[in-house]
Amino acid sequence: MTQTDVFEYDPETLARISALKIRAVNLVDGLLTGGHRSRHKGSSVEFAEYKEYSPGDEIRHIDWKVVGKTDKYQVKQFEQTTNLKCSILLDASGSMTYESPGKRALTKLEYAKTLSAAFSFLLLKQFDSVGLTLFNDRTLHHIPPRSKPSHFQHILHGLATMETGGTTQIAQVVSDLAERLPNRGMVILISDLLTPDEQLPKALKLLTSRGLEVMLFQVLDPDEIELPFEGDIIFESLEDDPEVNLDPRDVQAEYQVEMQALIKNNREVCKNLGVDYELLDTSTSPGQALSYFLLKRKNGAQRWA
Amino acid sequence: MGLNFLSPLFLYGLLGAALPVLVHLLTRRQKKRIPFSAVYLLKKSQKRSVKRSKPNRILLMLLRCLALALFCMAMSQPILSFNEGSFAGGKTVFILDDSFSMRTQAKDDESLYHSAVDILQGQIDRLPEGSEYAIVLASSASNILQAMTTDKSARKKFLQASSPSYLPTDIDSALQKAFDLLKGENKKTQGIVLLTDLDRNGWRGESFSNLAPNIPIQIIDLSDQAKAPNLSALIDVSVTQEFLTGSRILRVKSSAMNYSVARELQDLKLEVFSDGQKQTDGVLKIAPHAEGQRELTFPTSKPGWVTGWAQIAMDALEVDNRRYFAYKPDQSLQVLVVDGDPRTVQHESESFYVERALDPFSTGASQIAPSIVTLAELPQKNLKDFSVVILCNVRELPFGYETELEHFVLQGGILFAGLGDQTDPKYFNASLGTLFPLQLERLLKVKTGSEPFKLKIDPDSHPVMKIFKGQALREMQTIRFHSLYTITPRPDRIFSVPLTFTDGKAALIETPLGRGKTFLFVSTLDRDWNDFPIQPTFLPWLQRWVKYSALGLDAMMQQNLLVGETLSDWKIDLSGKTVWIKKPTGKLIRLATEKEIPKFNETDEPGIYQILLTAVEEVGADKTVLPVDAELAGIFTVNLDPIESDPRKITSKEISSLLEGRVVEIVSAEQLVSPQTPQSGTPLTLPFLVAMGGIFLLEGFILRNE
Repeated sequence: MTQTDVFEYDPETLARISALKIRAVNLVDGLLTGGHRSRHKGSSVEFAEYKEYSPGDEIRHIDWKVVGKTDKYQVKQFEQTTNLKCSILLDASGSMTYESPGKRALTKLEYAKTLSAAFSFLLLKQFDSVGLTLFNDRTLHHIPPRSKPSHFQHILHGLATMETGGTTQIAQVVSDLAERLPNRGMVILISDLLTPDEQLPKALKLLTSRGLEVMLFQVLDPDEIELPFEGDIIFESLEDDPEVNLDPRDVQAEYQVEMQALIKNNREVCKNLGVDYELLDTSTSPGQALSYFLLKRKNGAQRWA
Repeated sequence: MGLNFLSPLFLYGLLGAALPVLVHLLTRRQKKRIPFSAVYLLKKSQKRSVKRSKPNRILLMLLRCLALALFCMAMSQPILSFNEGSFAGGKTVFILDDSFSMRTQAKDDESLYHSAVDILQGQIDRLPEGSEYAIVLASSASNILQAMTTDKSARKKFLQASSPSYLPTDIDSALQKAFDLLKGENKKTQGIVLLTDLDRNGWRGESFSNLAPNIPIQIIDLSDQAKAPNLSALIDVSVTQEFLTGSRILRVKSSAMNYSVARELQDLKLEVFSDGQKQTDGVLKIAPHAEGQRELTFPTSKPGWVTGWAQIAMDALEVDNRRYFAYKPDQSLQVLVVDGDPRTVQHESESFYVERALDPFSTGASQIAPSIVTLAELPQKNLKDFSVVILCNVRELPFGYETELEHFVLQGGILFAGLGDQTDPKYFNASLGTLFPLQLERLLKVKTGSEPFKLKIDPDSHPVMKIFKGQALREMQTIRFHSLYTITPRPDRIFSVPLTFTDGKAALIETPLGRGKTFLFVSTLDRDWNDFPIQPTFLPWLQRWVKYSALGLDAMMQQNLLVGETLSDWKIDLSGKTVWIKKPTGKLIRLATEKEIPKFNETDEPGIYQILLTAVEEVGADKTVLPVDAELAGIFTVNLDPIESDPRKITSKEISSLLEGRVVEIVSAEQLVSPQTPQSGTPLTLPFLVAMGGIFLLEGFILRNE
């Protein structure tokens, strides 16, 4: 039995998968003009540089021709381009399901899914391993990183069939997940980060301490940033907060201040922990996020190359 | 302390205070439910902003409501009265002035009484639940209309259908009754409300000092409600018969009062009605605040009683512009001749000549019916049965009889005295000083051979004398007087001398006294001192004096009572009879005569009352139906007491003086009925407007800060 066989492809899932796939592929094809490099060095056919031998280096990597010429033991180093293991952590809590009453091209969840699919497609296209973890206050679904092109289907299926709801407990989830995540890999965290308590620093610290490169995408609907509503409104929480009855105009200014403070705080936390942080609002194209990702990857590769 | 509104209609504007609420509700958007992600952030933001914005909106709404309410209340002209309602919740006695002055036409063309009843009912309706109240009527026989009760509708229908009495006001009795009703109660929770037109006559103040202090009295003055003050009233009407002419002419003498202090009443129409139609009319001219009189005559051919009324032009108080009269013409003048020197020989007695002169043929043709009595018989006679008493040569009256005679004259009787040899000047001067304004000086006797005294006759000197002309005049001038008393007038007494002797000495002295008159002839009424009684002129002379003097006998013959007075002097023999009184309304009242002389006190309305006599009913007879054999035995009239007609009001200062030491508040009914004039108390219009302005400022401040 192949892995594909376990998927339950009902028509709705298929439709969702195909839409997600088309969006992701288009996104990546439009942006990808060249390959990206892994910053990790490993065994490969592509020579990178020499380095003096030190105990522990493989003997077979000693360039004997150089030893013969210079009488120095030089070890050949090669660029490793295919061994990036990336885990995408996608927030599937209730708050991610917010749908703006106004017309939007993508809802927050769709946006996040599209982003996840695009990242997956991009990485798999370059033979990197990609995994997907869906979480709310616990790990809902975990797809370990694989580099097979067919793995994309698993990820798409995971995204298409994901169930949402519950509260967000990033710290808790990361703590549980840490053991299962590969060392020195990459973690892309996509969440709205709308949690009443300060969980982010703890979660990020846990990830970075394990040598993981972390990219954090905070996805917010413009409504959540601006609070553009009018009238007497009862706001029902998508998670487990009690509902609030108010005229948003009365609190708009305060709300915006609070939201900006929250974003600023997240940015600060990320900066301090060396985490790449990008705020994405759903009105902007997911391509922007992808460009940012590629830019970061490129910079990172140059920095560490 | 209470809040009253002079323009309560504006209070309907308070409904407008609901406008901001309505606007608030209408503009309140439909509540939408939106599932939202960052609710905890909203909550956090709300905690900061909710205190500032949300309550302000409700506060603004409340402020706007308050501003509108204050504006409406300011327009309603609020008055803060500190006294009103001070005894609310306890016991209240309402004194309702139901005297006939309350019949004065009010501005709404109803009577003052109706206005008072409306106010009274309003006051009763406004009493707090559970409060007790009583109603006392303030007319003369002030009585308790309603004992203490909590039932607010106890007398509602009765009061609305009631009308004032015909009695004068008696505030003293009413207040006394009100205080009696409140006796022993907690004085802090009780009070008296007096609704009156403040007629001065009702306030005697004789018993006010006996009234318990500390009970607040609120006086609601209805005098302002009168359309106009009472201008005039007919205060007296008397009817006499023109005896001297011998015809059946009735003389109606009417007295009217002009109550205006500035305006002279000119051409005030006076009419006399009898037998259901106008008999005669005339006009009166009365100076300001003075009394005017006018005599009108009309012939009557009807036998029996003549009844009717005189009336003047109507004014705001109509009821006192009419007075009733009843008169029985062709009455015989009952004359009591007292013979002070009776003799066995008839013609030697004075009374012989007097009797012959008054009723020459004992036929009654002269309309004079003399009765002869001696001094000894005099006390047995009832003087009220006679119009004229003639004393002939009386030496000394029975002990104390002088007082009775004085009373007789004061009531309208006529006393005619002739002197003689029995006259005792000492007794006369000592005891009859009140009746006769002179003293007997000395007896003058003409010596034999000397010229006798003769009368000086002037036909125009007196109405009685005007027939003595020609032969009669000459005959009168030849009468010889041999003896007579000279007189000296007492100081400060008014009298006239209608007949003198040729030497100027007084022959006859006429003295008005009360409603009657006295006459003193200084010589004898027989032949002892003169030859007058045997002269042909003696008869008309004496008859005319008697008839002339009897003009004032109406007071004796007529029973003219005031409303509320009791009829007890029947002037008729009631033995073996049952008395029925037919009131002006036709109502019949039977009076029992079996045990004692009956008294009739249901003279509660002006008009003509008939006295009907029947034989005493047999046992078992129906005593509610007038027997068919009833005979008209007399008529009496009941008229208003003119004292109540005087529109002069007692001032608040005088009331305060009379009720010294008590809490008295005088409130004009105008303030209670018409909201146009300010009521006593503190007007709150301006403070309300200022408060409204303050609220608008506060609203502006809040809006600016929001």
